[in-house]
Amino acid sequence: MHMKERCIRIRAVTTAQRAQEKLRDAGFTTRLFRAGEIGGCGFCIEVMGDYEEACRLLKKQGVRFSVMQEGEKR
Amino acid sequence: VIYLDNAATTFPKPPAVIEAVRRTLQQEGGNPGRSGHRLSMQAAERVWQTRKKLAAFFGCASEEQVIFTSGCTAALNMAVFGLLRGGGHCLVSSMEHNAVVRPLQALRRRGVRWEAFAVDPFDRQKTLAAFAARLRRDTAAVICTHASNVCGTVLPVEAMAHHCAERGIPFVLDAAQTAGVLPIDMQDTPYSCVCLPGHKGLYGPMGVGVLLLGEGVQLPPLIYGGTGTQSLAAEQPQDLPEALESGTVNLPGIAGLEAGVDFVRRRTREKLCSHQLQLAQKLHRGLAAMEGVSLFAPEPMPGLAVGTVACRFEGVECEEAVRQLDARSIAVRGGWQCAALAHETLKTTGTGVVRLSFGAFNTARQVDTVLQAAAKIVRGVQESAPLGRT
Repeated sequence: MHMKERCIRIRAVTTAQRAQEKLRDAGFTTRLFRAGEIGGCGFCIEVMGDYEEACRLLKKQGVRFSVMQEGEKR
Repeated sequence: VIYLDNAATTFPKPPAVIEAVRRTLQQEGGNPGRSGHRLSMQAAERVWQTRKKLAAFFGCASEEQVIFTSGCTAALNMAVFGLLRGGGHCLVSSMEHNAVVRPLQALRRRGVRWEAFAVDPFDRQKTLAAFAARLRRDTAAVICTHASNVCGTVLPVEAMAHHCAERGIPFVLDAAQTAGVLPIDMQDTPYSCVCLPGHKGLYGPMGVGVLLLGEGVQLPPLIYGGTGTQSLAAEQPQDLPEALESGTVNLPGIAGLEAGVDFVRRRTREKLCSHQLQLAQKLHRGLAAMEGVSLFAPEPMPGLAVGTVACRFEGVECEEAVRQLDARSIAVRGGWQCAALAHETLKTTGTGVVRLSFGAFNTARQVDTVLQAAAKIVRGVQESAPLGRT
């Protein structure tokens, strides 16, 4: 079954790195990359797997992020 | 050379530190987090790993509260100017370095009033009592060195920090002489800020320091500019640590610092501390037994001192003693060590001292050589500088 990739937007690289680590620790496969259009520059974490669960986990960790809508330009 | 100026900077550096710096300059030299290409992201990963190691080593609650600076002085300036931006009373120890005193003096023009409590190198209880007596209801911050950079005396900072936390007063720790040497745990002790150099007890290269922020501590930036995030906004972004790290961070320095932290963890901080202390004890005892040598602190003991000894040779000016030791290939520091307040405390303002400070690579045999050289200096035996030296 193909797992859909969806992205989480985070403004600063260190927060994004911490978020990626939390997700990895929880068993998610992720990829961190730089992305535009968040007030100029920011970062995205591509998440494979249960996207909603990933978002819940990050909220619980106090990570500030926004969700990237499906089909939205990266 | 017998290098005994480790309180100024540890030397030599471990091979892994040199290799880490070389690797970033030759292979991994992208600008961390500024671009999406591999080298930039790889550099960002190096910076992140270093933040993680520092946060774990010092019990800092989050990697985002690990701020890279150009050194301990820059970290102290950020803490001093940030915590005292509204003016108010600031209490410091009488052992402070100019990295604390000079920013405070500059802030006098902005309404900051600062004073020093007396440190007694021979009596910690007296020091604690002097601290408590000077603390005021309107004290806006306490800034205290963990150990004197002149004589190595360790101050009872844990007790002071708890005392301050109970009263809601921010406590700033200057860990210039102790990071990587003495235990510093922000989980156990409520430090608001811990300022530390990368190039001393953590064995990194010069040009990198760290400001560790306690939970809930917010400081405004001293330097504004590019953070690699929110580039279209004219306002400085708020996200830590980037908000306080404008401009490109020192990647080779940070990579070297990471290797330095690894070195300290491998050797263990406890063993490194004990090694330096034993050498300082041996030196202190040897000097104490010599006629014509003055010492300014008790024999270094665990928990009460770091591996630094301050002395003076009767009838020999400090810089002259440094020159004579250098002629025997022994590197030490003379003068006032950028710490006027500490010299006032030790009553050495008129003369300065000769400071000998130990690191991981010093040996007991070196101490024997230094003691032989000290005996010659006291007896007035001159040694000419080696050929080719100026």
